[in-house]
Amino acid sequence: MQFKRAHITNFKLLENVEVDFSVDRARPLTVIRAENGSGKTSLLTALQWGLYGEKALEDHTVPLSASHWPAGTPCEISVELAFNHTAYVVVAGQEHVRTREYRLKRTVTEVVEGGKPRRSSEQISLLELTDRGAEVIRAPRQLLEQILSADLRYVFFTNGDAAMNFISPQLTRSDKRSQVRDAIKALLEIGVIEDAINHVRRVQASKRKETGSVGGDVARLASQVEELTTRLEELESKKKEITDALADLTTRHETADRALQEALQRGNQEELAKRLANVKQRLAGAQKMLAELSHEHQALLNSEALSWSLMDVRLRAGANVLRGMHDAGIIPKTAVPVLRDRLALERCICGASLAHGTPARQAVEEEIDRQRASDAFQQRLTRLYHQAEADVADRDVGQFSWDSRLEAVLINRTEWEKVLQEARAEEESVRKQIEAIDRVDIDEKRRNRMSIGSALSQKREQLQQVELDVAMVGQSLAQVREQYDEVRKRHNKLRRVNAQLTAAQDVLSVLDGVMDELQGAYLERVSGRMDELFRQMIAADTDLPEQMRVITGASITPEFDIVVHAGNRTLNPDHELNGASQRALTFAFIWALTEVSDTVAPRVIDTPLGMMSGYVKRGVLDLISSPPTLSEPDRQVALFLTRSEIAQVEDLLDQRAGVVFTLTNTAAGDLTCRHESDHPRIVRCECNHRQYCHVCSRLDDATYGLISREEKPCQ
Amino acid sequence: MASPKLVIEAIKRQCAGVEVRFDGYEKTLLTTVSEILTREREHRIAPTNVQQKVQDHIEVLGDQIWRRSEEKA
Amino acid sequence: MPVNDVVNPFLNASLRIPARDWPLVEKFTTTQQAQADPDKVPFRRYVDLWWAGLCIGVREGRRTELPPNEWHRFNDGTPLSADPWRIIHLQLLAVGLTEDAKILDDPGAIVQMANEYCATGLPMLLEAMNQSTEPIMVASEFLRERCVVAVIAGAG
Repeated sequence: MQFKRAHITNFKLLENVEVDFSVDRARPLTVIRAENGSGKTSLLTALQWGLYGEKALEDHTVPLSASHWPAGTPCEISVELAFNHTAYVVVAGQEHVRTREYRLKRTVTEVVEGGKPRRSSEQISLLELTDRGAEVIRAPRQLLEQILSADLRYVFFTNGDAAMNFISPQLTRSDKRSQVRDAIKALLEIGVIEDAINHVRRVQASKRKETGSVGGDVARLASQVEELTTRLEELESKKKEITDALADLTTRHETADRALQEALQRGNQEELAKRLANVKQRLAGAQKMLAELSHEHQALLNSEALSWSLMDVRLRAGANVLRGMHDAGIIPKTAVPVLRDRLALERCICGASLAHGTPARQAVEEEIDRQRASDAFQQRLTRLYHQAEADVADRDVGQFSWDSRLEAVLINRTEWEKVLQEARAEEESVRKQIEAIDRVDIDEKRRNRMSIGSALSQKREQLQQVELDVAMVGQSLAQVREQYDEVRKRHNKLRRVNAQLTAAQDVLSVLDGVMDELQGAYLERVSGRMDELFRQMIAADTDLPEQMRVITGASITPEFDIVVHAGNRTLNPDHELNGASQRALTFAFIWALTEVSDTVAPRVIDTPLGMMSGYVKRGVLDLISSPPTLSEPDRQVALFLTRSEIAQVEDLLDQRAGVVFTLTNTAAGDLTCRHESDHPRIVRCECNHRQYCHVCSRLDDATYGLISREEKPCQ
Repeated sequence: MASPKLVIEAIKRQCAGVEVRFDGYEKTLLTTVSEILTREREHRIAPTNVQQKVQDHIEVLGDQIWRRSEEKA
Repeated sequence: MPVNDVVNPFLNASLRIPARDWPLVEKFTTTQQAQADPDKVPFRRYVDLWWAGLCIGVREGRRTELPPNEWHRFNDGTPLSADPWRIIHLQLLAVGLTEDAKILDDPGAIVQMANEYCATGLPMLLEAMNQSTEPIMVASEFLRERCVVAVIAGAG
């Protein structure tokens, strides 16, 4: 399908707006520049309503006409769409390709009363433009559904914000899986195939019943096959339920675990306990040092140095007296040894005889006795003299300097006091942190996680059991079928019915195979292409936080989860990607879907580049607007962009856009020129992404470097 | 809806793997399956007695198998 | 110096302090309170505090005589043996103050002289310590001020 142009009448503020689309293969992009409130959402809805009618409306109670339309007055609303469609048809086993041109018009009349709309039945006309003229298509809805199923409209008509539903923390995991699965199913027509499989199975069941009418073994076996088939279907359905429940429980368990880890992180008990032990050690060390210093200080008050420092003068005076005595020869006394020597020689120094019995000897002996009596004292004096001399010498070299020792002790004490205070402060801080750990909260979170974990285990067991049952019943069914087929073959009456059963089985096996192929192989293809596109888009993002730069890709699991890979780790895109990367991932998924499906339809996106910075924006735009290669079918992309989204990618739009124009709300508050109109409406001008004119000029145009397309000043 | 081309190619591949019941069975089976899917698509747009239609297609195919096997016999 | 090298001539002397100062002497010595915090009880033994008082009294240059009943004898001279330098210092002090070595023959007189100098200095130190929650710091500063003055002035 390829849009050529659309004309919208009275759809919201789109009073009379013509929209054309680029059909240039080399420049497949259509850019509709419009600020917020300038009809982007209305246009997106109008196009979908034109194709699908009421089904395309999110809320049927909201009027389609503009709010200024007089209440109670009928308003005729219409959307006309000119488009091409290329169809693939199988005739006699051969493929045929045909492109046709169509004109579609959908009209409805609406009256709004009390704020509530009443709408007439929609009138729809679809014409095929042939060489013979316009031919009316009798079943337009059927044809439109065949061309582009309503199930796919949110893939091909995308609101940038709403697309986030594939990656939304608000949805449960099973809901998101369903969304992804449904998107893939719709695109690959899996729903149609599933329905066909169910109908063929019913045909099988009814044919088996027919064989049962023959009676005997055939009837019995037919009945068994039927029972086992029903049982198997029930088990498969139960398995799916359990699998979905398991997915939800897994998500809840992950959430509970994350909550517990966060709570533990806030008060990492082990780490705090270590810190406390460490600080206590430092505290004890400081206290010990201070105790030692205190004793050292005390010892200073009882020291010889203090005595010298206070009594220096008097002590030196004493020492001086003794020195004087020494210098005068009063100490040490040496007479006694000399006199004794003389007695031994029995001759005095003067020559007199000191023989025994002489008066001289007696005098000397008495002198020796007298000298001995005062020797003890002399000795003490002499000893005191020597000790005093030594001490004074030590004092002079600073050995007994008390105040310098005191100063050293005081400095040490101050430093260690500081260490002690710091350790105390840290101890208090750590204790406070420990107290702050909400143990109750942690215990509760732990219990919660345990309880979910226990439910998870039980669910896993249930799944294992049901898988076992499925395998056993499947095996039994295969055995019984084999017996049944054998018995059938032997029974003549059943040949025709048998042949029909064979036909049904063959059709079923083809449909099952197609289903597996579409789901398996195409899921892989969608996943692979999504991965390529996503990596291209974010590779250019230099604003990504460091840990995001290790993203190695994205994939869709067999369970239809969209996950992001970072090395060996799998990231949860709900929580572990920034907004721009989430949006890029969503686009990559949608783009991959449409590419792999080979569905050729216009991709219309409202505000695709919101929340994206320069590099990611460029990467995404580059990808979604690139022209097709030679082997690819024509491509058509229409983007509704604000000035802000266009900023910094103007050059890319220069290259890729085949059609660019601007829509403006005449009642916008930041327009430079006034519009003469009694009511707001959306008007089109031919300004491209680098221009402005009197219709669309805004106050901040200079910020975007826009240039005027005309010389006409504002009125 | 998906590109019919995609589905058609998948059907072709699957049909090629089915036991040949008679000459041209592969093409006949392909046509039958394609027709069944077309009926299903139509039913999605506007309700029809799709079950009966599917049964009819299968019976037609089945009858072809039966007749060809009778002829052989 | 090794204890054995110094003979203690003051063994029989009486170490005394003013009786009125005894309660505070007990407060600021660890003799009766072995586990006391040095910061609050800066002096280990009575003789240590007596000596500090003696040093301050010598620094003040005054002796305080008291009637016999106003003295408290806390020990004989035995504790002086534990710090032989005290024996040296007492003797040097006595000789320095009297300018006569003969005083050394009268250990009793030396000790009495020391008691009277202590009676001058001890109350001053006790009063300062008793007015603070940090006696060791106050005592240190009190003593340090006097050291500095003594060194600079060269007088005593």
